Amino acid sequence: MNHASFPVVVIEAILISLILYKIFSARRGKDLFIRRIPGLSAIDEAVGRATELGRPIFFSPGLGGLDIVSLQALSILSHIVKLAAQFRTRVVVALADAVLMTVAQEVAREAYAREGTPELYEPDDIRFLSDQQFAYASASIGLMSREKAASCMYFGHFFAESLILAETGHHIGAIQVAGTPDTTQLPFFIAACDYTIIGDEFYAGSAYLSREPTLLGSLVGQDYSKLVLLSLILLGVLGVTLAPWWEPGLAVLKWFTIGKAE
Amino acid sequence: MKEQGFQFFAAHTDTATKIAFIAGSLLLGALFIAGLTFVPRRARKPLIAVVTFVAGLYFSLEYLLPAKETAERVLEGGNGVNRTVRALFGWYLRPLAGSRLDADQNFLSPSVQQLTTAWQVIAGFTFALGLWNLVHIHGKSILRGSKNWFFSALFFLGFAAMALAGFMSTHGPYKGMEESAAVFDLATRGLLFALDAAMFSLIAFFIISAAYRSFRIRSAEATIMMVSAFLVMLGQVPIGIWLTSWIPETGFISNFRLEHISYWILTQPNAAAQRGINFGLAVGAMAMALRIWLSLERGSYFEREL
Repeated sequence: MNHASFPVVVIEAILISLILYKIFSARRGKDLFIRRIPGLSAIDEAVGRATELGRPIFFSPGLGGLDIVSLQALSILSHIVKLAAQFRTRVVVALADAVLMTVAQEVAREAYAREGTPELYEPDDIRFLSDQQFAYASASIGLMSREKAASCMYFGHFFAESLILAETGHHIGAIQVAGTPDTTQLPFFIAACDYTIIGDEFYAGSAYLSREPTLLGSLVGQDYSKLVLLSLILLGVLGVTLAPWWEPGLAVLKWFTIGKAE
Repeated sequence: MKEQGFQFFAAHTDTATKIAFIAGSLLLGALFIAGLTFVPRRARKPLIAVVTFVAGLYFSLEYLLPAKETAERVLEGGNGVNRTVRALFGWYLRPLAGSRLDADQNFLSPSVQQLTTAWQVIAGFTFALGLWNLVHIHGKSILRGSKNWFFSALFFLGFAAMALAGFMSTHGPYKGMEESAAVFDLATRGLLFALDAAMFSLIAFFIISAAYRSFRIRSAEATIMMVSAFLVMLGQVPIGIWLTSWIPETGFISNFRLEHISYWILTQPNAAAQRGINFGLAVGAMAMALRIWLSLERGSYFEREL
């Protein structure tokens, strides 16, 4: 079993404190700024286009189960459903995990209810297709083509099926927005989609779209955490480079290896 | 694992005991889920928040607390840092080092597998919901006689055929017979795997059409991407290696051989960019996990922010 080393515990404590501090200061009303993220702004455009054409929006959270990535994807879905509910536009969700399906149904039901349109919620639009990768891909592209989706959104864990989905979306003329933490699939989405959310922008999604203080604070906390990590990397590089000639350089390296076999 | 802990969850090899445990677990699970529906509506969300917090705390502590081997190293270590850690956390490290746990375990580790199994059992109940969703959608399509009703009929046919073939090959009077194995083989290797392979092969064509659109020189970034992709691809194929084979294999000049340029692009700028992205993703995932653990993420899901 893997366990954190002492330096990891210290670093995690610092990062968690930073994120929590920023969350609670944001909740106290501190004004926070986040830059414009074109991929996330494009979600509004994609919903608008589906409304204009009177066609549905297709959403895929990928092949992941109930994990952090899929929960973030559902958080973005919640925003999309709320926006779509304002214009009475359908959102079709294709799922590959039965557990996630139950959560997605609840998220969609809640989002419609919050917009005052609970009657628009259609359980059959939140579909479990298959937990087999290519059966899911095949069923998804069939669904996209039959429903003539005007906008396709892919947020979550994707593997080889990413290009099959995105190219089909392109062929049916849909506006496409994608975001995934799987770096191996990013090139496919960049090549085939209109907008792609890269790296930690994926986790910025819910904060950017909802502007809720907790999420905004967390996002700013993440940026500070990245600064801490960057400083540690620079410290480590300096330590390794200077260790042969400078005693404190060696001390830096020793700190990073507390509890490890010597 | 030397300390077995709770024997109730230990593996049972006897068939009758196994069946009794499966039936008992199903009954208990069903009763547990039925019991949850009686929880007052107002108490449901606090209940979820408490369970999430306790579960998150358990798994976090299990990971963050050091294992026995680390405790032993710190207790034996002679440098100043080890002495400081020993003085601060000796109350935890000494009993851990003296315990009968495995080297890579701490006091919380023995229950991880059992809790993970419990989660899988809970998740198993939702499989029926997934199946019901499929049956509901396709059943409705057939009953209403919608445009593509025959695809829905094919779903039921395929589902029944695969279930029957699987069952026949492992249970009942045809168990172990060559014919029943052949039917299952036809359904899986002959049909399912072939269909999977057909879908996978589509990617080759999709890559070409996607690459054609992306690699058009429209901007400085697209040009850099096209040139890099071209060099990497050339460096992977024999003709690319042949093109620069006249360059000596040693010395500074060897860096200009296509296979070396390709390797450099993949392992230096590409790896650096990927690591940068991964750092951001890891911090993002940690922040998200923290919000869910402390139930601060509710605004995006089930109710307005607390």
